[in-house]
Amino acid sequence: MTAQLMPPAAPENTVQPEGDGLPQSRRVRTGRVVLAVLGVVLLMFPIYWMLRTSVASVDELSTLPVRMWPRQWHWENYVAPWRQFPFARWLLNSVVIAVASVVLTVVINLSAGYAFAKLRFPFRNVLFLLILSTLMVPVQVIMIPQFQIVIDLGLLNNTWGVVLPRLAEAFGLFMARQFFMSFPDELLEAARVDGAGHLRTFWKIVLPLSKPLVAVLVIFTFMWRWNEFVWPLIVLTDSNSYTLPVGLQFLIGQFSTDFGPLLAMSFLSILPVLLVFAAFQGYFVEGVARTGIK
Amino acid sequence: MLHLDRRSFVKAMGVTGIGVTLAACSTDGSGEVSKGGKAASTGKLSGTATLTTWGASEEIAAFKKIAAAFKAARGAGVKIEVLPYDQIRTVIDRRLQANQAPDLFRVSYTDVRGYAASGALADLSEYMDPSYGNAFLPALWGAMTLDGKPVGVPHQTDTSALAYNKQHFQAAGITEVPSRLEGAWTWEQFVEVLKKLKAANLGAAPFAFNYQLFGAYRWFNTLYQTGGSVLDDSLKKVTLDTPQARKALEFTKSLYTQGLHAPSVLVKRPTYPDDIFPTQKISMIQTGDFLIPSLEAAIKNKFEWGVTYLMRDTGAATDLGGNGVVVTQQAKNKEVAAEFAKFLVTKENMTMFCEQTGELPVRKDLVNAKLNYAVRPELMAVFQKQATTMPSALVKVSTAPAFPGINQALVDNMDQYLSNASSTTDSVIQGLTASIEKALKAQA
Amino acid sequence: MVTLRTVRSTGARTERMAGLILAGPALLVFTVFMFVPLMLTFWYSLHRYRGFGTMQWLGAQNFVEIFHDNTFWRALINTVLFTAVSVPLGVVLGLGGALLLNRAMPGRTLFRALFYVPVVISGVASGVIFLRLFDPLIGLINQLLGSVGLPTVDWQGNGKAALVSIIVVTTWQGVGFGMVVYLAGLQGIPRELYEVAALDGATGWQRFRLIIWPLLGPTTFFLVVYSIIVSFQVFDVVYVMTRGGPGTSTTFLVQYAYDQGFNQRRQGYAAAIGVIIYLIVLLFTIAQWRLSRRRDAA
Repeated sequence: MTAQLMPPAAPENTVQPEGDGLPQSRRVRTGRVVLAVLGVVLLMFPIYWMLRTSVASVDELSTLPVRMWPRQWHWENYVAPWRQFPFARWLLNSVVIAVASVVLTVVINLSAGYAFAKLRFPFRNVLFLLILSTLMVPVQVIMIPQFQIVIDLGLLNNTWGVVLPRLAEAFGLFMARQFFMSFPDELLEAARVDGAGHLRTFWKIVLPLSKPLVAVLVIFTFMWRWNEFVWPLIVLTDSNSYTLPVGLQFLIGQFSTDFGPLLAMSFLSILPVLLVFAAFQGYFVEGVARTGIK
Repeated sequence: MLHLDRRSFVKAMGVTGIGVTLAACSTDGSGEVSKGGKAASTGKLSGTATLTTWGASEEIAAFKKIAAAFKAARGAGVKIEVLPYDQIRTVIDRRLQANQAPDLFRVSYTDVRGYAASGALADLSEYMDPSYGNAFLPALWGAMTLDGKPVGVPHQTDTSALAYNKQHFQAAGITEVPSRLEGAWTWEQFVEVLKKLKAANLGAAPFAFNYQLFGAYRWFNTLYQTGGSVLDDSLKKVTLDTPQARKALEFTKSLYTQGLHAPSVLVKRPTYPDDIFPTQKISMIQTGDFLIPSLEAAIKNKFEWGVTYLMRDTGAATDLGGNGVVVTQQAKNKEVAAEFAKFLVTKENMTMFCEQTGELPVRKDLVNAKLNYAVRPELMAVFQKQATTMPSALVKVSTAPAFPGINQALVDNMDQYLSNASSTTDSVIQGLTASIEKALKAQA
Repeated sequence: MVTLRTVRSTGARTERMAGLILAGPALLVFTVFMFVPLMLTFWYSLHRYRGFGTMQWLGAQNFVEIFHDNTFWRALINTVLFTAVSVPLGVVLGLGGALLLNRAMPGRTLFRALFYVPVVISGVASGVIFLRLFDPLIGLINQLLGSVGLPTVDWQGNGKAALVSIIVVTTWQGVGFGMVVYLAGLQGIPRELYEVAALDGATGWQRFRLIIWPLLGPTTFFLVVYSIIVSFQVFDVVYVMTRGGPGTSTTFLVQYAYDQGFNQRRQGYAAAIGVIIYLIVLLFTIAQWRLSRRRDAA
């Protein structure tokens, strides 16, 4: 029923990189550039201020007003927390959790998306509707029993206790199904007439054509799992097994008003996802148009 | 060097009705109270245990030092695991739920009985002589027992007084601060001081209370200073609808409405005044003795600061703080855990811990002792005197099983009252009473 | 040699098998980590449970208590209020950004990327960044307000101001996403339509009102629904910045459920709140389904 959530994807041949293509006067164009610059300044300023504060000493920060540009660079902020806290462990935990989540999410959603789109099996539609109906359920609705299940499976304070429950997320499955729905049936049938089984067809024909879907799934799953907070906060009970966001929350308590190291660590914690974004930003921005996450 | 007015302090703590005889106060002085029986306090142990705690860096260092000494003396290792203060309770709860509890954990006196009542803590009777508890202040030993069975050991206590910025006081023309408990500011004098601070326009809020989250009960200082109370003597009836309680509430709120209290320092959010005081954005704070080392480390030479007694109204009053260490039912190595708990509170170790961390001992044989506090010992003297003003009725309430619920009632209701000018005293009394009654009912 | 007939008859069976094999892992994780917990939430909601110790049957008592629970109603109102303000704000700003960056201009790709950067930053890190900016005593925002002679705002002590600060942060986080969704929608509008409109002498505003806005209908609809879901779940920023305070001014339903379940040791009560959140989401889902059916029919 939530299938209606997604607007019809734009057919690819109408993609127009140049917008409406109408001529615009120089003045209008300049005005737009100015507005865009203003927007960027507003949106980027908090990030600039994070960087600026991250190289400030306590003394500098408690002397108001704080200068817009640092006079001395207190790089110590980037070093000290590594010694005091298991920051490297948190980084490693975040990487392991994000990578495991990405691999499993892609595998599960690709295969299930294809099955729901192209193969007939008992209760297919009912099952899909059931899964879709959970699209909007906030994790807080099910966290209490989910927590008990994680405990019963012996996964408390365990990487898998964070990874596995979040695989049950309808977004990726829905995206994958939409993607495969647009696959021409003739192509698949041709493969099967040639004697290939369903699984072989999936492996040989379908997967190689799924790269755009895989890219989008990888990027978004990585971003979501990297940034996830509430579920790891519940499952991870030992400061050595924290992920970066949970560790950051720990640091807030430890550094309280000593914002320098806190913001230095905040910046380091978002750096990986910023790099991924910088490398694949085309997929982030254009991929939305292609795959129907929109 | 320092003396605690033992008579009144012991009186305050001796509220369980057991009473403190002078004879009970004197142990053999070696710090080893329990001897013989199963409760072997010497001999080699094997295995390891984990103690989960929160703490300032001085506290953690002291715990680790004691763990190392334990390893040397008894052969068993104890791992000290540190968690953030505002998460320790939920993390311990979750691990209990998952059967992954640490062997020992540090817990405030106000929380012990909540855990004990749900069966989470181990009965340590077999590791302790029947007379073991006599070594401690009765009220605090009582807090560590359920139905007479010990579940842990009392470790330290702490209390609140006022820390102030000497530069700011000078700038505001406040030349004298009370140097004796009897000369503590009255509420009126206190407000005058705050007004002077405000008028001096130091770019800072004059004052802030330390009643955030699990410390919400520290507001009871104010309540008891004016003769109010939370519960009646039976601990069954809420006694907040009284002129005294009204006066205490209105006094607290008036500090906010007159701009004398830092407006963003409230009850629910973990914004602790001791974090802000070193930035000179607040001129005076109500604060705990255990924060002296970290305050001193943060302030260094930036400005001079001192400590004076809490203000008083019809009487003086300060809160019962402090913590014990308990052994869990799920502990894998109960013997090591229990022995470490006992080791932690020997006379020698308790002395060291208190001296390093700026906290007050809870052994009867240390109440009278001179401690060589490592940091600002002259300030500790104020806290020790202040500790004698813990009202016995408040101590009794503080160790009741329903107290976590009472504290939560304050967390849930006070912000609204203090931050919203249109919120009335009637409504907050109603809210508090309803929440506390709910907490009492849940315990019954 | 395989005949077409054998392909058909064994085909149905092998297809079933393949379907179940490929969908199997998804069905397994959804069963264990979604459907079972969802049912258990209802079961838990009828009990008193501290997390450890034993469970006690309460019947509907938790729900009766919720009905009389002022904090619950406050949290519900806060959630609705937050949603009602932040969703339109996100839609308008997202559309503005998209219209601004849809047409050719120097550095357009870079601008688009920079608008999107806040979206990829974690809620906790965003919270930390703005915690510092909004600090009432030492934060830059009050410093700037003061320097231009405006009264400073108590972002943590004043309930309304605290709510505003949360909305500012979540809007900052969401503008880029709205923009990208609208950019995708704008690409779906055939260029010929603009040209026809230009020939007819339509002004920029008329073009927007008569062509762009109606054709973006499905996109707007999607964005509104998506944003409502997201705003119903906002947690991280609140946890870092206000903890739901002062008082209950920024306590939303999900915070309240978390707090009751994991801080107050009332897991049964938290589950009951979860049930109510679920029912609200369900109602909302049905409503949007009806709406979109009507759209399609029209």
